[in-house]
Amino acid sequence: MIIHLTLNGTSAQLDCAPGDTLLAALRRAHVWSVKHGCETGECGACSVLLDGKIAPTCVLLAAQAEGRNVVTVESLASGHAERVHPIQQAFIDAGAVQCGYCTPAMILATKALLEKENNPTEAQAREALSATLCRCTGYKKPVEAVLRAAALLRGEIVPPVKGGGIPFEAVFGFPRELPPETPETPASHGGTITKHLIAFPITITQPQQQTDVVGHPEPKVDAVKLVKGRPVFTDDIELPGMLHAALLTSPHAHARIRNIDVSQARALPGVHAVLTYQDVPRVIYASGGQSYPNPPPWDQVSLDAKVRHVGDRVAVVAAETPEIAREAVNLIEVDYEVLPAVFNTEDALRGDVVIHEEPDAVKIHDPKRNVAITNHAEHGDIEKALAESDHVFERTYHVHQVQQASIEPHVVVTYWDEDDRLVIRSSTQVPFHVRRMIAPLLGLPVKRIRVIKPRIGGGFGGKQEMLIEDLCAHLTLATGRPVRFEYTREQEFTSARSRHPQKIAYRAGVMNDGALHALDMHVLEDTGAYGTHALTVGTVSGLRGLSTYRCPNLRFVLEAVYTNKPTPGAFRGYGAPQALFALECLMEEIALELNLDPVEFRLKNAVRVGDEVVIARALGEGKEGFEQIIQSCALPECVEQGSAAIGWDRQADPRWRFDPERPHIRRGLGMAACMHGSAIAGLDMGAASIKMNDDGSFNLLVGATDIGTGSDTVLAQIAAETLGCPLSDILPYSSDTDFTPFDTGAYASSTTYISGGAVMRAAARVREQILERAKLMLNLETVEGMYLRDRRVFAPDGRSVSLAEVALHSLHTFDQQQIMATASHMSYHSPPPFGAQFAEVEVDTETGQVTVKKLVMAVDCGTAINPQTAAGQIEGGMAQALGYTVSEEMVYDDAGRLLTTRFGDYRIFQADEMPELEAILVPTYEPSGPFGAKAVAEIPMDGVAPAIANAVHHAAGVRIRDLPLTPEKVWRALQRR
Amino acid sequence: MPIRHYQRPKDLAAAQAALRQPGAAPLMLGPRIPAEPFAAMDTAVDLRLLDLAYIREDGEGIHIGALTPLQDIAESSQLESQAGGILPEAAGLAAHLGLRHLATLGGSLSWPDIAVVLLALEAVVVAVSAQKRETPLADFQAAEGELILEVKFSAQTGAGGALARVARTPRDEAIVCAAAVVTKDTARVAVAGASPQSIVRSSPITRNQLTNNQLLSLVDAITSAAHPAGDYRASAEYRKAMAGVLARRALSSLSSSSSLSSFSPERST
Repeated sequence: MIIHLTLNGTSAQLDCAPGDTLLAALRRAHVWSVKHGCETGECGACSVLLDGKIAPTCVLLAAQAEGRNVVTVESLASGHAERVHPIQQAFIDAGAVQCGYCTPAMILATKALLEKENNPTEAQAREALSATLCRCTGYKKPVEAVLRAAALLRGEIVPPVKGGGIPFEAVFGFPRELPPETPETPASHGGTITKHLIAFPITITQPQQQTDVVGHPEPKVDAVKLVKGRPVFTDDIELPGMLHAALLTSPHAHARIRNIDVSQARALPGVHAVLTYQDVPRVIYASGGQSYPNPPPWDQVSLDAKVRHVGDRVAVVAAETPEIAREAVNLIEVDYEVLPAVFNTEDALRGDVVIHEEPDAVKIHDPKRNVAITNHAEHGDIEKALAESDHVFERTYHVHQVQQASIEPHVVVTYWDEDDRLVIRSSTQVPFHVRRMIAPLLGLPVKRIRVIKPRIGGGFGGKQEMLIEDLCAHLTLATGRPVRFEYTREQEFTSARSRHPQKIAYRAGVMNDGALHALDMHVLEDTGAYGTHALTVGTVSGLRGLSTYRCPNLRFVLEAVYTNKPTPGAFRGYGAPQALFALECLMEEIALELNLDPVEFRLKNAVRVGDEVVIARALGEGKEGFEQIIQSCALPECVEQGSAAIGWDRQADPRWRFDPERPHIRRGLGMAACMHGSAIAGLDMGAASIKMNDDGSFNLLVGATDIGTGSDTVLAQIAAETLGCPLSDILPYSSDTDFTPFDTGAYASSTTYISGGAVMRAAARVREQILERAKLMLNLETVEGMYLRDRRVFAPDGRSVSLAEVALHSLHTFDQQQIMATASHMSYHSPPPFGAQFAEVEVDTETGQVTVKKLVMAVDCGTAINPQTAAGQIEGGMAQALGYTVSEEMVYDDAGRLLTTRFGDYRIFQADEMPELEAILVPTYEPSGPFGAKAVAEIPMDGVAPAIANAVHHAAGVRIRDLPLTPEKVWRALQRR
Repeated sequence: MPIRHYQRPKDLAAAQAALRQPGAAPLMLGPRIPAEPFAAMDTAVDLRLLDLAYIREDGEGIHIGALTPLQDIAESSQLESQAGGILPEAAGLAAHLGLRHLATLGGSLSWPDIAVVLLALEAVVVAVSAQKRETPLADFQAAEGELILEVKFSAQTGAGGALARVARTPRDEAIVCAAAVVTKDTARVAVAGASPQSIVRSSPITRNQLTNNQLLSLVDAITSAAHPAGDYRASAEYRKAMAGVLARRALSSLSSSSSLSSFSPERST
C-alpha cells in the first residue's frame, strides 16, 4: 500500500505492507536518523515528531501516518554545510552527545518542547527528554542542552564553553623559557600578540604556559554528524542484494537437540539459507574479545547440538526480508531432549548436572563440578594474620546480574568485497580481536577478513565480544550475499552478555588502632552457560577488592561456576563494581562496629603515593602480574571536595534526617572510596598513525574504538596539543582493520591511557620530522629551542614557517618525504584513578522504597584531557550504577526463562526521575600517562551501590548486603529490625 | 504473523463492521505495548476518524473518549480540578512522554495507577458491540469484538483525591498503588497490585469528614480482600502489606476536612 504523508515539510509517499511499522518504512526510505532500539516504544530512539508531538515509531503502523505530518532531525539542518540548528548547537556545546544514537530523538523532543514553551523549566526539559532512554549521559548534559537551546532561540547570548588547560610546567616538568626577543607587553597566559615593527608586522607567539587543546572542553569531533542524524552507525547502510538474518534461540535452559528439521524453513520463498550445527564447522573458541591467546576456558562453538540456556543459539536464517526470516525461524522444528538444569552456583557445584561434557572443550577447570576456572593469590600469611588480629569480621555480599543495555543492539553486516575478502561491518568494541578470533571459525585466513567499526551506539563492555559476527559471516559464506543481522531487544537480554553475579565472602582482621591487618576474599562467580571473560572479570574483582587499602596480609580465591543462564561477559567496571560493593560496605560495617568514623577509617588505611599495590604483582591474568607503585593519588582531596558538595556535615544532624511533613521518610548520607585501574598492565596495547596533509592538517588513524565515550576527541586533542594545531586540523579515524593500526579496543579503561600514549608518541615522532623540515627551511643549525604552536613552527629567534608550508615543502619541493609516523604503546603500569562517591537518599520506612536524591562523585583521573567528556563519563556511569543499585536486574522463573526482557521491566532510569548528579574533577598529574592522564571510564560504576547501601543504613539502620535495593528487600530488613 | 490488512473506518457503524471480521482488532494502545504489538491481529482497525479523543463535561459529569491520549489527560486543566487532579497525575506516571502521546485511555484501563484512580472515581465504561452498554469499571470486562467508546464519571470538583504508590524508581510502574477519593458523603479507596483484580472499598461519611475509625476499617477491608500473587517485583506477602500501607496513606492525606488536597507521591526533579 502507498502512504501519503508530509515528511520534513514536503509531501512524500511510502510504499509499505499493512504490517510495516513506521520505523521500518522510514528507514527503508533512508531516513536514517530514526533508530531501532527496541520493539515496545520504551527506549524512544525511533521517535519522530508526529503532528508536532514526540512519539516512538516502532509501535506505530506506517499506515497510521497517512495524511499526517512527520518531522525527523534531517529537517533541522540539511546539506553539507557546517551550519547546524541552534538546538543541535546547544547539544554540541553542552556536551550532551555521547554515542549519539538517541541524540536525534532528544533533539526532536527539545524542538517540540521549545515550540510550545520558549522558557522551559528544568522539570519540563526532563519531561521532554523522558521520551528517550539514554544509557550514556545520565541526562545532566542533555538537560543543560535543552535550557541552553531555549536561551539561544530566545536570542539571548549564552556563555561560551571554554576554560581549562593545564600548566605547561606540569606537562614538561619546567616552564617554557622565553625566546630571546620578548614582546613589550607579555601576556600572562600565552596568546598571540602582534607587534608592529618598522616595515611589516611580525607575528610573535608567546611561549605558552598553558596547554592549548589538552585540558579544554573541546566539542566532540563526531558531534556534528551525530546531531544531524547522519548515517554513521552499522545499520545505516543498504547494500544491493542484502539479506536479513534471524536467530532461533533455545526455549529450554538445558537440552540436547535430538533432531532438527529445517525443510519447511528452507522451502519458504525468499529464504536463502538456514544453518544449524550440522551446517557449520565445529571449532572451539571463547567469545570474549581478548588478547591472544584468549584466556580459558574455550567452551563455545558457533552452533552446537546442545543448548545451555534459554536464548542459546539453535539455528540462523537469511532471507530477503526480516519478516520472511522471522517466519522461517518459526518453521524450524526442533526435537529437544530436555535435561535437568541448574540456576545457581551452589547447585551447580554439586555436579548433579554437567553443563559442559563435550570432549573438545579446552581448559575447563573441573567440568564435572561445573567449575569453569579458578584463580588464587596470596600475600603474607592470612591465617596467622587473622588469628593475631584484634577484631575479625566475616561478611558475605551478593551482586546480581545486570545487562549493559546499550540502546543500539548488537548489529553486523557482512559481505564479500570485489577482491573476495570478507568485510564485517560491526557494532563492536574490539574489531581487531574479532578479525583474529573469527578467522578459524570461518576457515578464512586473517588477511581475507576486514572488520570495520563505524560509530557505535553504546557498548559498555557488551560489545567486547565476538558475539554475532560469526553467524552473520557464515550466512554470507553460505549465500554469497550481503547479510544484515541485528538482535531484538529481547535477544539483547537473553542472548547477549551481562555482568557476572558474584557471591563475595570477606574475612577482615583489624587491629585496635584501626589498622587493617588481614583481608581474605573469596569470590564465587556465576559465569552462566559459557566461561567467556570469567577468569579476567573474577581476577579484576580480586585486584580491586584488595587494592584500595594498605594491608600486609591478603588472600584471594576465585571459583567461576557454570549455570544454565545467559552468559555474563564484560560490563563497564569489569569485576570492580562487584568487589567494591562488598569492600566499601565492609569498611563501613567495620568502622561502625568499632565506633570509628567510616571516612577517617578509610583514609587512615588507604593507599597513597609511593605505596606498592601488592596484590597486583601476585595477581596477573592467570599468571604473575607486574609491580605497581602508586605515583599519583588525590583520594583525600576527592573526599574533601565530595563531602562539601553533598553537604556531608548533615550526617550528624538528627533534625535533617527526619521530615515532620512525611513521618515515614528517613534521610541518609553514604559514601564509598573508589580505586580503579587504567588498562591491563603489560597486556593492553594501542597504536596510532599520524600523516601530514598538504594544508598542514593531519590524519590520525587509531585502532582504538570510540563507542560513544569521546575517545576519538580525546586522542585528537592529544595529537593537536603535541603538533601545535587546533583540534579541527586533526582528522581522526577509528577503526578499520585494513587502515588503522592495532588496538586492543575499548577495553579496561585503556583508551586514554594506552591509546593516548600511542598517539602522543606518534605525534612526537611527526613533530620531530616537522622540526627537521622547518630547520631546513629556516636555515637553522639545530632544532633546539624550536616549538610548534598556532599551526606554525617557531625558531628561537622568533621566525616561523607554517605547517602548511612545511607540508608543501616536504611533499613537493625538496628531498620529498611523507611526514608521518606510527607508534605503539603498552605499559607495565596501570595507574589507578581514585574517586570518592557520595549519595543522599530517602528511605520510605513503610514501603522500603529507596529514593536517591543526589549523587556526587569527585574523581582523580590525573589530567582530564577533555573535562567535559570526562564529566560526561562520570555522570553517565553514576546513572548506570544507580539503576544497577535500585532497579535493574535480570530475573528468571523456575525454568530459567528471563522475565525482564524489555526496557520497562528491566527499568533503566528516565530523565524525569533522576537524582541530581554532580561530577567533580580533582586534577593530579600521572607521570606515566599522556599529559598526566589516567582513566575515567569505569570508576564511576564502582562507588554508587555501596554509597547508596551505606546511606540506606544511615537513614534507616538496615544493612542490605545483596543488590539491588528493591523496596521489598529494604522493607523486609526493616521488618526484621 | 504480521497483520495483513489495515482499515480506517469512517464512522462507528463501519468500525463495528470492521471489528466483526475474524482476527480484527482496534489500534488502541496502552502504556505497555507488547513486543509485537500487531502480532495477534490479522486486520488492524484504525479508529482515528471516529471522534473518540475528547474530554468534556455535561450535566451527567466528565466524559473522556477512549482514544484520548494519556498526555491530553495529563495536561487537562479540566481534569486537574477533579478530585485533586489524581487522574492527570496517574496518566502522567503511566509512561514516558512519547508513549503518552500514543497510549490512550481505552488501552489503559487495567494500568495500575489509572485503574485505581478511575475506580475511586466510580468511573463507568461505555462500550458497544451489538448494542451500547454502560458498565461500572469495577465490573467491566470487554467482550469479543466490543469497542470501548468512552469512560465517564460524576464531576468531583469538591472532592479530595490522593494517589500513593510504591515502585522501584520514582516513575516506574507501581508494584502496588492506591487511590482515594473523599466526597462529601463517601470515602472510596482502590488498590492495584494486591489481587488479580483491583480492590475497591467505600464507606459513607458525613460532611467530608473521614474519621479515624472509618479510615481504619476501610484499610482493614482492603487488606482482607487482598489475595495477591507474587511475581519478580514483589512477593504476595509484600503486596498484601503494601495494600494496607498505601490505602491508609492515600486516605490519611484526606482524612482531615481542612486538607482535601492531593497527596503527591515522591517525585524526583
